[in-house]
Amino acid sequence: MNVLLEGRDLAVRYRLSGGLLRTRWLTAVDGASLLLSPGGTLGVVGESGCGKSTLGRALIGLAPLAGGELRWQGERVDGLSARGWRRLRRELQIVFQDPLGSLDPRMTVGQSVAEPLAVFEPALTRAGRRARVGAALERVGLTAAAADRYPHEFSGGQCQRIGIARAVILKPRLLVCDEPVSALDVSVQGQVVNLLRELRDDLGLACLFISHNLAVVRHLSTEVMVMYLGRVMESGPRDAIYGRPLHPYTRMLLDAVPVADPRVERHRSRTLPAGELPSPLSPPSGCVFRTRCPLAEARCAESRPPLEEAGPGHRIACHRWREWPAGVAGPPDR
Amino acid sequence: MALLEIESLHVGFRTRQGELAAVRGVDLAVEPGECVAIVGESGSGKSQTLLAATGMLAANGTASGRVAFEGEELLGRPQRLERVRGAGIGYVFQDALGSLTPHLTVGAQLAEPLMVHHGVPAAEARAEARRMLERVHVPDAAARLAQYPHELSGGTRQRVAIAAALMARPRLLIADEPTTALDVTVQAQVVALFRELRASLGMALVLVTHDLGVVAGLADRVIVMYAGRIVEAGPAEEIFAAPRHPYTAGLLEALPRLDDDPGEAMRTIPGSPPVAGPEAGCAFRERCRFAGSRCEERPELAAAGRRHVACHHPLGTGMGR
Repeated sequence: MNVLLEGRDLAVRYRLSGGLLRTRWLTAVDGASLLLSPGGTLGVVGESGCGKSTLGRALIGLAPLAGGELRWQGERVDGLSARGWRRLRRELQIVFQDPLGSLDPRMTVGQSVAEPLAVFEPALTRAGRRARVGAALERVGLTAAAADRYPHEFSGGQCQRIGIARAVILKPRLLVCDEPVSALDVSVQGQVVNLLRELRDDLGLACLFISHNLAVVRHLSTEVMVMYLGRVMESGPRDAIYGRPLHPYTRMLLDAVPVADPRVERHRSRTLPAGELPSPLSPPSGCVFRTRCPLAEARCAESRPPLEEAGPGHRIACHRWREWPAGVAGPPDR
Repeated sequence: MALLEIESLHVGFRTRQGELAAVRGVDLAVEPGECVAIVGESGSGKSQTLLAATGMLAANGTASGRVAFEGEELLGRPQRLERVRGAGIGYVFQDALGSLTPHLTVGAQLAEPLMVHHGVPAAEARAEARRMLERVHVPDAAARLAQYPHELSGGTRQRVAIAAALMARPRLLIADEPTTALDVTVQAQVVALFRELRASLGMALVLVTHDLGVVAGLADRVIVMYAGRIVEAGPAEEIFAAPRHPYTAGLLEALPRLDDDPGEAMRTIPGSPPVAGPEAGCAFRERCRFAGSRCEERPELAAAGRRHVACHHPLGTGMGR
């Protein structure tokens, strides 16, 4: 399999203005490893503060890497300057959550979608640019005539299509999608998910799909990574993560997803993480999930569990994963 | 007697583009102790219906129709509305920071309504505030009384907002997208909390939401709104098991599930919810796979037993496909 992007042990840290003599660091991502290949999608799931968006940004040079190795088509890019990243941007694009907010309200849709062309293909004639914009808009299910209108004339779903048209107009090879359907109405979410899947398959894109919605991630992903407080808890092929989740946190996340059936939902009892999310400024020692884990024991505070291979490509960071068949916090039968 | 009665409620907003009709004739009744979910997407009018009923419309909004709480007329009676909001009806919003006052400590904002509306002495009100925080499972309740809303996590803040809404022991709690801003595990905890509070306090709950999963866990009755009107209503179990309106069916199908076949495309409804539905005909017809010529005439909400549906081609009745 030809790998486009490879990250090994990636870390992102932010320096915070602390006291006079003390510098405080916020570790947003720590020890994340991943591979992205054409046509594949890595779904990154986790709750707020888990570092999933930061990781997505770091992969395309929008957040500073503080550690680890990042390779794009085999070449190290983790030390790249802002200028170096700008050159790569042609091949690495991002779709944001807020469809309307990511478009300039004073620019026509055509001007917004054409922006990347102005940077990377400045020699293009006006007519040529217009043709490319029209084709991109049609590719995402809009009409070429949409180019002359303004963002506010479109619905949320249509604005997200416009954002996608802008992201794919240069035919990138990697697309980071950061919660691309979270702000959309339920009846429209599927349209955008299906569009992203079509584009991925047709253009052979590698995708990083960041979302808190586990059911949506399951639809689009070939691989899944579960993050908590900046760390990877578990990662692996989609069917392994959803079918045989091993980490207590993964199990609780899946268990929390409601089923749209009152007969099931009304009588359901769940095992959910206890207490509150610790501050990322002072994460727990050892396993960061231990303060909320029903299985935590002394060694969980003492050492950080390494990511261990639990099956083909299935990696888990939990001291007790081997005990799981007899675990106490298992999900209900599924 | 119904606890809350809304009859032919219309809500409009004056905008630069002219008058925008947000709610176009809604009738609904909430019985004591029941949980009614009002479901809809953006522009459905679900939130505006309840905001109008409780006198909390934005300044450019106007409401007409009839609203009664425990038999008392509310619409156009600001003083009565204020009294009812302080005591009979509690309100929880999506954004707990918005429902709480930022410059008041948790203790102050929980105790104040009791002191103002019920004349409870300060020390007693504060003790009750602490009991209510414990009741909604806020960890370390005594310490939280001295904290400000911004010092709390999202989940705890929403619990505090729920506690604040319950302080005066309302007979009706209105919760507008109470879980939408929360993480999935916190969401499940808040749904469980609502279930527990209904069982212990016995208040009625109106849940305004787009999230059918949350509805499934709480609602006795479901009302589905589209473009300012009710398109379907009935017992929750029946609506989830056999929706009659093609829109309700489409929404349920569009919901991604953990047991879907991930190899298949997601089910969707074509088009998007209208900002302001067309005046004539069924507002859903442009997105509906069953639409025919009759749909150019607006279908009335018709009752069949406990089910209501506004559709010329309802599903599962032999009249549709």
